[in-house]
Amino acid sequence: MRATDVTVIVPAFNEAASVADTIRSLQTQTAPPRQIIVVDDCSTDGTGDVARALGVSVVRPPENTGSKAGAQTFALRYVRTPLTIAVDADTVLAPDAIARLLPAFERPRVAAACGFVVPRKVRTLWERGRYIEYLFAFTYYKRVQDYYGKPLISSGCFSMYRTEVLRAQGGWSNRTLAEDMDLTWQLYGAGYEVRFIPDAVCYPIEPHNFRLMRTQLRRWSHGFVQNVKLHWRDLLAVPYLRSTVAVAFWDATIAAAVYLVALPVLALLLASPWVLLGYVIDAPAVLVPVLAGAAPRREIGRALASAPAFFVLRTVNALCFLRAVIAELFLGRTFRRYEKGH
Amino acid sequence: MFYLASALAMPLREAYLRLRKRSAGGWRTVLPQFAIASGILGGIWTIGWLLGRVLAAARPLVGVGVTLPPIHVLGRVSIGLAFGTLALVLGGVEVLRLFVHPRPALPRQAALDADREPLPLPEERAAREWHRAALLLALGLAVGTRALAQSVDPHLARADSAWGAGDSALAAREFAAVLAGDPYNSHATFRLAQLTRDNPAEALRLFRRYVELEPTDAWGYLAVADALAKAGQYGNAVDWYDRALSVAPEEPEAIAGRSRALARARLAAPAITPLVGRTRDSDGNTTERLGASVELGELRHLRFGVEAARDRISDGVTRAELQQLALRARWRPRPGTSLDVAAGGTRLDSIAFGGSVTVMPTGRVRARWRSSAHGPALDVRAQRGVVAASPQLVANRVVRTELGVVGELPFARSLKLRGIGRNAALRDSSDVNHRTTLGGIVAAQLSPVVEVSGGIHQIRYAHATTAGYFAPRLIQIVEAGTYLELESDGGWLLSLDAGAGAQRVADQGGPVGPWSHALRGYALIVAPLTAGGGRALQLELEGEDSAVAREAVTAGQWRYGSVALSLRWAL
Repeated sequence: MRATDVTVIVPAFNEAASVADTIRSLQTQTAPPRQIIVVDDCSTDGTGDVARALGVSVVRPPENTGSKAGAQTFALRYVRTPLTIAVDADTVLAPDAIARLLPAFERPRVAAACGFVVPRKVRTLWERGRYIEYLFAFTYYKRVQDYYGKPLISSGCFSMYRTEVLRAQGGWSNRTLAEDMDLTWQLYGAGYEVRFIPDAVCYPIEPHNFRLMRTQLRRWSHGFVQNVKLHWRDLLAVPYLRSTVAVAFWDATIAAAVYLVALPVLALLLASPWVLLGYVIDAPAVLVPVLAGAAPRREIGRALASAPAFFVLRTVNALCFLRAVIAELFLGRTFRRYEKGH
Repeated sequence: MFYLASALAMPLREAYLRLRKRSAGGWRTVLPQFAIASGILGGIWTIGWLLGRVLAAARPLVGVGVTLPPIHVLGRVSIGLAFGTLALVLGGVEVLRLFVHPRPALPRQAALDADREPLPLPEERAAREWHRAALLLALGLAVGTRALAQSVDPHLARADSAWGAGDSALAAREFAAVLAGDPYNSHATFRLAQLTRDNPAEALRLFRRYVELEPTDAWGYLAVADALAKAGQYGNAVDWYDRALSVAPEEPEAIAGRSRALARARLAAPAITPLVGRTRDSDGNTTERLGASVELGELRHLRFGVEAARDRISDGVTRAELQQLALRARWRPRPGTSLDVAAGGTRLDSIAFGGSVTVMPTGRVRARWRSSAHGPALDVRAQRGVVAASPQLVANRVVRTELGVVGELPFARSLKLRGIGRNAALRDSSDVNHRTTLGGIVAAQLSPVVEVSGGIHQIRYAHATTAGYFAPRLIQIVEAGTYLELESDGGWLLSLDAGAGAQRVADQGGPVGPWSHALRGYALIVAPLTAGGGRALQLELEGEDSAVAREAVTAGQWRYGSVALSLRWAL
């Protein structure tokens, strides 16, 4: 596969502040794509003008599609290349990111491939927490998942797809709030392979304050539960993936409950604050992969300084997942509103 | 725990797969993950051991032994819980799998299954076989001519395979072989055209042929339009983009390509540009300029033109006149690379100093190269021109011959480093002086249209002069600048380049003086008179307020203002 076989779709709703960086990073790729399509999803801040000024194709649906999935699927009709990349409008790619993904598609059964995600800005507590979370997940979990041939998700902020397969799946669906997870699991269900390429690095902007982080986590947690509800039967037929999803679901329910309820209750019952050490008892399990991921990037200092923020983020994460499970599974309150997380 | 177990199992799995002549990821994937998992286990063990030591030490010290948890019990309970729940979860999934099966088929397939007819009786089956045979025969006849073309299929398969593998030479040969056997194969025609990069005329012919074969495919028209635009035939290209849009009205590539071609067509069209301008400085020198330039149409990336101007310079008492005429040419072999050359003469007529008339050869050469939109860039220029800021300078026939280089290197995302080096010889009727300029600028691209920068410049003159320009020993300038360019859909353009900073001067033989302010500004406003900007009014404003300007000026305290109005009239 060659770069000229690639079209990039950049869904954008009011992203004038960040879309230029995204486009420039695409235009300066060592393997520049044949076409860059920015979907100006009826923005009101001149996103389309900014994109147009940079010489890329800009398409605008007649009305706001309401979700990233809708915007991406709208653009899929304009794609004429065998491969399609979806990149968020707040994400920049390392110069060789596309070139690194391309070889994955030499295997005909590979339908999607994603890369390593590192937050572009690491300043606030929330960005630092996310930085550690990503370093941990992409250095450890994701590589293990890829070794067993089943990355849990092909990240929505930067993934490459085989266009004909993507079309056959109907593009990205907005039936859940996590369209990337939905598509990944759908591809597995259809017998395709998904790959994680750690050398293909992208840098999204992550939520920098609590309000935005909560919005994003709410969307992700509800999206996860919605996808489990939607796909669980089909996932049972996919080895290893069924285990990773089960473990992730266990994390989102039992572990979150233990984390939020059991530890403080136990500390009260035993009248011992030592029990609260349980919140950081797994620090080595987090820090070892994080430092292993930070060392080649020469970011050991940054990783160590950011590590405490991870435990704060994990608490909020657990709360969001627990709420999502209760709302979606027990109260039957499906959350459908797509809100931007930055 | 699950991932820990998964990572620890990776070497075993890899070894097993290798025994079976397979590999899931290789040892380079396996070993780091195994090391991380081992590190996690070691880390957890170390933390547990340290906690035990701390608790053991704290027990007698704080005297709260009864409230401290029994560590060994808690540890075992934790491990038991972790493994127990993991086993429960994974085991539960496997058990669930025995009872719950995936949805049997996709909805479409299920619908097909539901519509399936019951098995036919033997006589019905025989009748259906006859029908099927008849249908196959009819189909065979219908595609008979097509079948003849199937003989070239091996070539087509090899060509597509070579195309996919990026082997252009083999793909071109195979597609040509396909066309030799089947001249109507549109796919091969299109691909061969794409591969015929070194022969634009042949590529264009093939794309046109493709349009004949596939008149409903907008991409054919688009390809012809792109090829024409590439060849500099912008007018024809616009026509073909229009045809593409008539087939696919919302095709973004056609819309964008048409806009690009239209803009280039207007810029490439012959144009005449009359100009009038006036400058004034703080020494009372004024210059009135009347001029015009004529550009011929661009042909094969090459463009010729003529420029002429008459300058009247006065200091309120004396005056001088310059008449300049030059032929110019511009060559842009590819985007980002250009060569501009102007050569001619300047007639100097200093009325107050004896009225002598001199004609001097003047000209300039400028070569620019940029690797990509954000890549490194180089700008080299050489020029010879008359320094005509005052009648005295004209009378002394001060001529500047200068060679300058500006290099630009991106060193981080959106950040560029610019280096400037210039050397000028200032020759007058009795002397030659030299000016050397060195500068460094760091520029940050804040958005596609805004750049901010900070830089330092240092200028040195070899010696003082009496020719009429200010030539200190050393000038140092520190400046922050900004550049922005705003363009509306209607063709209005505002370009602004401004700088503010400080500079200090050392006279010849004297010490470096104090810092003083240095301000400069330049604005270009383009007002379109017709849609697309083929005819437009251009207003240029320039001002400088600084102790010493960067060009040769007349005195140590200097301010300057300039305005110029021109009308570009594309024919």
